[in-house]
Formats: sequence, structure tokens, C-alpha cells
Amino acid sequence: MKRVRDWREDPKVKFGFLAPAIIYLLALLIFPAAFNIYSSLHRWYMGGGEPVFIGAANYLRLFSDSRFINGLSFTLRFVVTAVLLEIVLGLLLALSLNILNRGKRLIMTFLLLPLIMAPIAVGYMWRIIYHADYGLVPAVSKLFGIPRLYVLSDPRLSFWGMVVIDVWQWTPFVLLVLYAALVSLPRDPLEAALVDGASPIQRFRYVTLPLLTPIILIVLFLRLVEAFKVFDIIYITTGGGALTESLSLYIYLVGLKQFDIGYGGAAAWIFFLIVLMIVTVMMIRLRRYMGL
Amino acid sequence: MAVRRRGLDLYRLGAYVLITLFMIFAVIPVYWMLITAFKTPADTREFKFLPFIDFQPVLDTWIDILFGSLSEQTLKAIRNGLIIASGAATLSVALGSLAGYALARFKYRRWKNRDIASFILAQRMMPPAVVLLPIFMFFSILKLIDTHIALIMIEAAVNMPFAVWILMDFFREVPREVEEAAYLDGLTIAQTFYRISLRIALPGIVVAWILTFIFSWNEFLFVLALAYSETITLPWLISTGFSMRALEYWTISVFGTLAIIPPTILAFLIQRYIIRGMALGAVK
Repeated sequence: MKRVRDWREDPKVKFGFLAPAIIYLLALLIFPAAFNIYSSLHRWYMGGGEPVFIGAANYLRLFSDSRFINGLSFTLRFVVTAVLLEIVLGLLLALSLNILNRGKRLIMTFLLLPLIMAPIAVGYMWRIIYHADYGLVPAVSKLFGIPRLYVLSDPRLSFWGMVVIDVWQWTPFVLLVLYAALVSLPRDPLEAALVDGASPIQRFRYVTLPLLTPIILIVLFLRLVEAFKVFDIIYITTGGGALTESLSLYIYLVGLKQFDIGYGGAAAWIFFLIVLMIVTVMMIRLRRYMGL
Repeated sequence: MAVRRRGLDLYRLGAYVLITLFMIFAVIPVYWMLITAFKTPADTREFKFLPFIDFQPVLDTWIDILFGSLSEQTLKAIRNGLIIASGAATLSVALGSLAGYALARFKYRRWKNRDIASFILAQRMMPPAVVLLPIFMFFSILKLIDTHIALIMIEAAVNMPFAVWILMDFFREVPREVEEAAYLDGLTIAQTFYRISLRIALPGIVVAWILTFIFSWNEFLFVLALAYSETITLPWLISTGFSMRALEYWTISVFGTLAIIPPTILAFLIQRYIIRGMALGAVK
């Protein structure tokens, strides 16, 4: 006699379904990530013979390497600035879209485009726009009588140039998620507030915002971890020049262009620990909103 | 719509202005790239906005890229992109559907379900640059540099957590009673899974497959590291367009436009699921 409980509790079945994915991830992501510890403790050049154990020397070198410090600082500033702008702008736009009478569907369909575009193509697109001679930005700035803006070569502008690209690509994502959340909010609290004569600002502050907070935090989390990965748009616009080298680009250049596996491994390991810390803290606090 | 008073016109006006400004900002770069793809090299250096009025659109670059001197390179990149993205999508959905089903259905006691799910999702959040150098070395040792299999394997790995998460979300909606009935009717566990549960969760499978296809199609860092000539993709061509010959904006604009086409078509098919998928089921 077969009983349903049996197979759902059968350890072999439970293990069999889950194991392939876990083993695959362990082999292709966890093990390589951890392998950085080994490489980071060695002087090791690709194609340059056996690794030589040098202890923590690579780490000491990293913290006196102004290029690495700049990469770290650029990445952190980039993540914070871009993501905050995307959340604030996305929220304002979602609220605006919500009170629009028509054209919603068209706008929402168009705004899917940035989400599915290759970041490298997005970066390329902006490269033409920022181009010193033929670009739109220098031309428009000249039109307004201010000196031509050389976004990609001027270190004072390059940071914002990168932020604008990320904001261009990902604000629509924040907007669409928040809008989807907005239209599915329960009606009653809002109508009660309306009956009580709350002003639109009060309704937003005391009703809509608290209801939206969990979803805002999730979007913030998703954007944060993606923004940390920034590579493509920088690679194709400045190539890391004008003080825009992100940690991902730094690791790529040190490891695969200078062939310094040990040193690149140390940078990668530090990068891993920073992201791991943020992900762990945020995941534990947010996962109950994510259906776990 | 909820009860709405008149006299909120200031807010409404503000909303219109904000949306309009943002839409202009959102449209211009794409529009600029699209028209650049149809300009002559001389016209790309001028501020000509309107086809047929400001400039005469031409297909020269398209012909050059699809049929002329660059066609071999382009077609190879498109073919590679399709092979790698569909391979990676299939692999991550295959493994992801098993794990997604397991997390939606079974109860793990030693490590709780939510811890396992968090652990899997966290893999997606790790920056690819962290594993870049070790992966490069492992694939060098295995003599897999510049092969499809290497790119399929790594892109499947970075996207699989995503597939697991989406599929877990969809499998939760499969009614247990249907599975139980099928099982009691004499199907084995494997049959119940792939004849009943998988069929019911088919929209989820399609969504996960398409989204991982799009991510892999767009992926650049691993292609840059692991492809030299045989497995190059369109993102790779876009990036090297700057060094191949001089700065040929018209050429790269065509590559850029080509790169958008497959994701756009696929995304169109699952339009109403894209946001649900990309937000990992946080909104329905």
C-alpha cells in the first residue's frame, strides 16, 4: 500500500532533488571563491611558474595600494549614490504613474527595455552621448553657454557619468516593481485616511509608505547587490580611467591583464567578504518579506 | 480607482511633468543608438535627429555587417550567443526546477528550507569578479578556454540561483492534492514530478528559461575572460568595436541593435511575468 507521506519524507528523494543544484553551485562558485584564499597567500603569476608562499604580504600590499583603495571607495560611493537615486526617483515615478489617467501601459512596456538590454550595449550607447566631439552632452552644455562637459575624461564628472548610466538602466526596474506593489496595496486604509480628511502628503507618509516599506527594502537589497558588480558600463566607457575603476574591473585587470593571480586573489577575497557581510545582514532581516 | 477629489491638480501636474521628463531621458539614448545604426559615417558626426528630414537613412552598415566583410564575425557571434544562452538557460532550469521543487515541497529539518533557499540565492549575489580568476585557471587546466561548454557551465552557475528562486515561487502554487492523486494512481515519484508538477508549473519554467537566456545573452565579463575567437558573442563585438578599426559608431550601433532583438522578442512573450521574475516573486 502506497502512502503519500512516504515519498515526501524519504531522505533519498529529498536529497536527490536538491543535491544536483547544491553540488553544482559548490563546484562552480563556492570552491572558486574560496580558492582565492589559497592564491592570495602566494606570489603567483599566470604562466610564471609555481606559486610561492608569502603569507599575508599580498594583503599588506593591497592596503597601501592607492589604486585598490580608490577602487574600493569608487565602488562604495557608486553603489550608495546610484541605488539611492534609483529608489527615490523610482518611488516618485511609481506614485506619479499611479495617478496618471492614460498611457500607463505604453510607458510600462517601453520601460521594460532597459531591463533586458545588455549592460555593455547600454554603456556603449552612453559613450556616444558623452563623446567629447560628437556627443550630445558636450553639445547641449555648449548650447546652454557652459563650457563643454567632457564626462568621460574629467575626474570631477566621470563618477556622475557612471551613476547616470546605472540610474538610466535601473530606475525603470525600481519604478515597475514599486508600481506593481502600489496597485496591489489594500484599499481600505487609504480610503479611511481619505474619509478622515488626510492630505495627500499625509496619506503618503502615514499610509502608503509604511505599507510599501517591505517592498522598498527588497528592491533596495536587489539593486545594492547588483550595483556592487558594476563592470560592463565602466569597461566600455572609461575603461577605468578618470578615477572610475570599480573593484570588479580592478580584479579583472590585475588578474587577467597583469597576470598577478595572487594579488588579484587577495583583492577578490576582500571583495567577497565585504559583499558577504552585506548580503548576510540584509538577507536575515529581509527574507521574511521574500516569502521565506 | 479609489475615491478621488478634484483639486489635486497640482500633484497631477507634477506627476505629468516628472513622467514626461523621465521618459525623454529614457528614450533619447535608445533613439540615438537606433538612428546612428542607419546613418552614414559622416552623418554620425552631426546632430541630425530626424530620419528623412535631417538625414537620409541608409542600410550600408547593416549590409556590411550581415552580408559583407564583417558578416562572418557577426554571424558567428550571433550563433555563439544563441548556443551559450540556450545551453545555460536549459542547464540552469533543469537543475533549478529540481531544487525549486524540493524547496517548495519537502521539509528539510536539519538545515531549514529557508536557510537552504537563502544560501542558494546568496550565490546569485556574489559578484562574478570574485570567481573570475579561479574559474579562468580551472578552465585553462581543463583546456576549456574558448569553448562553448565553459561559458555554458559558468553562465548556468551564476543564473541557476535565480531559476531556483523563480521556480520555487511557481511550484508553491501547484496543488498538493493533484500530485497526491497522481502518486496514488500508481505513478512513481519521478513520473509525478515531470508529468504532473512540471506541467502545471510550465509558465514558471518558461519564465525562468527566458530570463536566464536573456541574462546569459547579455553577459559580458566571463565572455571577455574565456572567449578569444571561437566563442565570441555580440557583447564581445560591441566592446572590441572600439579597437578593431577606428571608432566606428555606426558599426557598433548595428551590433547594439542586433543584441537587443532576441531579448526583446522573448521578453514580449512573458511581459507580465518579467517584473515578478526579476523581483524574485516579491510582487505578483
